[in-house]
Amino acid sequence: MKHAALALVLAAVALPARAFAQESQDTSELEGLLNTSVVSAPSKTNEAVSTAPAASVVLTAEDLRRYGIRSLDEAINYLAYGMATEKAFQSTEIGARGVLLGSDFGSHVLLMVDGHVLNESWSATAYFDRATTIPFELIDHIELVLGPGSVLYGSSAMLGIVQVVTKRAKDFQGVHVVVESELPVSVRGAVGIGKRFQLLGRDAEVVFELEHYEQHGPTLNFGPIQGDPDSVTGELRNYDPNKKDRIYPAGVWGGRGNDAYFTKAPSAYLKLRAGDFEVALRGALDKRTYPTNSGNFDDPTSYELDRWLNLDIKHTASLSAVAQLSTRLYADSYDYNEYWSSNGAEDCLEGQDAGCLWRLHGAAQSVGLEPQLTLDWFQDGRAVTLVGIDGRIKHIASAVTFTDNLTGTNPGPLGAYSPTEKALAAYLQQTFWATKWAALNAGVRADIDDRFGSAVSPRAALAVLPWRGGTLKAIYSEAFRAPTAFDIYYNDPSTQVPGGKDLRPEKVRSVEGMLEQHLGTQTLHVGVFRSWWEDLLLLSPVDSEQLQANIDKGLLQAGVENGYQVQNVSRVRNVGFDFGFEGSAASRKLHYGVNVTEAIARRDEPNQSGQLLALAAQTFGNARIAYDLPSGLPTVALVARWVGRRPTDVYVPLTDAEPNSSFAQPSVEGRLTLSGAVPGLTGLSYRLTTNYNTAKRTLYSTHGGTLISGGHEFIPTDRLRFGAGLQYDFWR
Amino acid sequence: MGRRLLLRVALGCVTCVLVPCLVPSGVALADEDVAVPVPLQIELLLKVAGYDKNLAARAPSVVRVLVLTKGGNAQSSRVGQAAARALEGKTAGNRPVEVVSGAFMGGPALAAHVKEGKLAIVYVTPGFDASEMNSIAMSLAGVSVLSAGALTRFIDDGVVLSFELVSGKPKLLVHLKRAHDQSVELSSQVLKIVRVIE
Repeated sequence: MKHAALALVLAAVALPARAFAQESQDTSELEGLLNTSVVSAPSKTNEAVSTAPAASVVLTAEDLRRYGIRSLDEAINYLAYGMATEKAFQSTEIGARGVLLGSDFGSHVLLMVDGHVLNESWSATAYFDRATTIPFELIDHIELVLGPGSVLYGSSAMLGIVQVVTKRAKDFQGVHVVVESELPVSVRGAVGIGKRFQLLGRDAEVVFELEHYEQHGPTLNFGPIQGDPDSVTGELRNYDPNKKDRIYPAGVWGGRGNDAYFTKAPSAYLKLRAGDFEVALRGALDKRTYPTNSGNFDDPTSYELDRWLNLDIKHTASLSAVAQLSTRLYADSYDYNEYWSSNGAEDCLEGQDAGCLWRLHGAAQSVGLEPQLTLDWFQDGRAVTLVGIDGRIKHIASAVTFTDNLTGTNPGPLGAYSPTEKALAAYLQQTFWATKWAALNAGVRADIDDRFGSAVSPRAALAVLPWRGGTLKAIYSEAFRAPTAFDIYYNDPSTQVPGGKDLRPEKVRSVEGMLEQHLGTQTLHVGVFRSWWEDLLLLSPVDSEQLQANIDKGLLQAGVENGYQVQNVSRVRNVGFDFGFEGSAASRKLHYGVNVTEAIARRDEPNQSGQLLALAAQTFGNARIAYDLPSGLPTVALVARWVGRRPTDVYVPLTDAEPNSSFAQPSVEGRLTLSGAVPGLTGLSYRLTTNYNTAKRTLYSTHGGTLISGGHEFIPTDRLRFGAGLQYDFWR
Repeated sequence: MGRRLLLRVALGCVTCVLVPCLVPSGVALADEDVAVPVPLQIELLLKVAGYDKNLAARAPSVVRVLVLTKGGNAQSSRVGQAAARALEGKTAGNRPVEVVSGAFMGGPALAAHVKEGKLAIVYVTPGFDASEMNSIAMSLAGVSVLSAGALTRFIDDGVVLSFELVSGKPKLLVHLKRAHDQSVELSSQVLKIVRVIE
C-alpha cells in the first residue's frame, strides 16, 4: 500500500511537468525560479530554502487565503511537512517529526514574529492557534524550520522554529477591513492600514492591524461520569453551577456544555520602518474557557487569560565595506491568570468546605539588547561571519491563591516566587561557499543563564548542488530548552514540590540528510532524520524518603500520601523521513502539493523504556489542489490532512496488550474553499469554506473518571463547519 | 563548558562586535533591503533575458553584462561583486555570459559605454538615488539594452526589470514603456507571470 502511494506520488512529480511542458514550454523554468522559497530564520539572512542550513518550509499568504486557513495550526497541518498539531477545544499542542511532548504549552518550538521571540520567560509558552494573536492579514508568510535550532536563538528551538513574517507596506497598501465567521460560532473582525511616506527626507513605512476574534460554542454534550463523594465533606457534588442546565443528579459529572466554551482575543500589531530604524509593537489578550476546564462542569467562572505586550526596536548601520552592525533592543511583558473553580472541598484548602476559586498567576517582564555584526569578508557573499551577543534581564513572578466560595476570602498567596534573572548569550556563524556548488554553514551559541547555568548549541550544515536544480544537504544540530520558572519553583502543598535549581536544560541533537530537486515548476523534498533527546523533564513521583523530607520542609502538607516533582528523567529516540512535493501548472492557475512524514519515536522513563509518546502522530501528511477559474469565477481549493493511529492522552504503556481505547484511529480532515472578488465592487473579496473531519473525537479525555457506560470519554471534534468572510481593500 | 570559559567566549564576541564599530570609517547609513538574494536575482535576470526576442540581435555570440556600481558605496560594491560572482560561467539564451564591471560616471557616459561595449544587460546595484536612476533611464532610452535593478524601488525611476519578495517568493516587475524604449521585447507568456508596470 505504501509502495503504491509512493509510486503515485512519484508519478505526480513527473506527469504534471510533462503534461504541461508543451503548454508552458517557454516559461516553465522561469516559473520554477519564481516558485523558489526564500527564508530568513535558519541563518538570519535571506536565502533560498534549498541552501538554507535546515529543512525549511515557507507558507505563503497566498496559500493561506487560497486554502481558507485561519490560524497557525491550520497552516501547519494543511500545508507543511514535518510538523503537526493536535487540538482539543481551543488549545493546540505542537509536535514535529513524530515527537510531541504533551502539556508543554508549545515550549519546545520557538515562535517568532519578525525575529522577535514570543515564547514568554515564565513557562516558555507559545501558542500555535487562535491564541497566537497576530492579526492574520498582516502575515506575509510563515517560515517553519524543522529540527534543533538553538544555534542562533537559544532556548526552546528543540522541535523547530515557527517564524511569522509580516507584510511590508508595499504589500499592504491602503485600508483593509475584514469580517469573517465560522458560522455561527465565531466572528473575527479586523481593520488594517499600510502606508509609505517620507520622514525627515528618508523613506518610511507603517503597517498596522487591529483584530478581534470571538467564539462561543458549539454546544457539546459530555458524560455522564460518576463522581465519588467529596473526600472531605462526604457529600455528592452538583457539578454544573447552572441549575437550569443540570440534567444529571448530584454526584454525576456532565451535561450540556453551553455556558463555558468561549474565546475573546483582541490583538494589534504595528510596524514602523523609518530610515535605519525598525520598530514593532504588539499587544494582545486571549481569554478562553471550555466546559471541562474546572472542578465543576461547564462553569464560565473558570477561564484562562494571557496578555502580551512586545516591543522591538532595531537599528542597522553599515560600518564599512565589510562590516554591518544591527542592534536590537527588545522588551516583553506577559501575564497569565488561570481561574479554576470547584464546588468540592477536596480541591480546596482546609476549611473551604463550600469549594473555592483557585487562581494561578504567572508573569514575566524582560528587557534585552542584541548587537549583531555581519562581516562579508570578500564582499561578495562567499564568506560571511555573523557574530552576536544577546543579554537579557528577566523578572518572573508567580503565586497561587485559593478563594473561599462562601466567604470570598483567601489566606494569601501560596508558593509565591519572584526571581530576577540575568541571561547572556554569544553566537557565531560562518557561511562559506567553497565553490559555486558547495556551501558550508557552521555555528555555535553559548548561553549562560541564572536559571540553569550554561548550554552550548552547535550546528554544522553542508549543502551541495551536484546537478541542475538539485541540492543535497547534511546537517548536524543541537538545541536545548531551559527549565521553566514553573518547573523550578511551582509548589502545590497538596501534590507538587518545586523542581529546584538543580534542574538541567533539556537537550536534543540531531542528524539529517535531505534532497531537494526543482523540475520546472515542481519541487520535490525528501529528508531523513534521527534525533536523540536527553534530560527531558517529567513530573515524577518522589519516593517515601523525599516525601517525608518535603513534608518536614513544609513544601507538602502533613498527611499527603503522594508527592510529585519535575525531574530530568526522560529521554526520546526518534528516526524517520519526510517527503514534500509541490508545484503549479496551467500558467500558475493550478496549484497542488502533497506532504508525508513518517517517524518512529520511543520514550524511556524510569521503570519503563521504549514506550510510545502519547498524542504524537507517527504518520501524518496533507494534500492540496487549487484552481483559479477564469472570467471572475472563484478560486476553488481543496485541502486535506490525514493523521495515523496514535496514543491518546490516557495511554498507559503496558508490557503485553495495549487496550484499543488508548489509541485514536486514523482520521482525515478536509476543507473546501471558494474565494474571489465580488463582481462589480472593486476591492471587495469573499471566502467561503466548508470543513469536515472524519474523527468524532479528539485524543484528549474529558475528565479524570470513566463513563458510567464504561471507558473514557474523549472531547468531541467540531466535525462539520461552514465559514464565510468578506474583505474590503480600499485607498490602495 | 565552565562558566568562566563561557564568559571569555562572550567577552571575545563583545570585542568582535565592538572593534569594527570603532574603526574610523564613520558609520554610514544602513544598507537598503535587497530582499531577493543576489544569486537568485541573477538567475531570474538571465532567464528573463533569454525570453527577450531582441537578445539575439543585441548579443549574437556573447551576452555582455555590465554590473553597474556606485563609487564609494559599500553596499553597491558588495552586491556588485556578488552579482559578478553569480554571473560567472552562466548563459543567457544559450549564449555565454561575459561580465563587465563599472562604476557609474553619469547617464550619457553609461549610454556610450553600453553602445561601444555592445552590452546586452545592465545590472544596477544599490546606492543610486531617484535622480540618478532617472538619469540612467533617460540615457538608456533608445539604446537596445535590458536594464535591471537589485532594489525593488528601481522600477519606479530607472530600469526595465526589477525584483521584489512577496510571501517569501520572488516576483518580477517589468516596466513596459521602458522596455519598449530600450528594445526589450518579452513574450506575452512572460508578461503573464510578471507584474507589469504601465
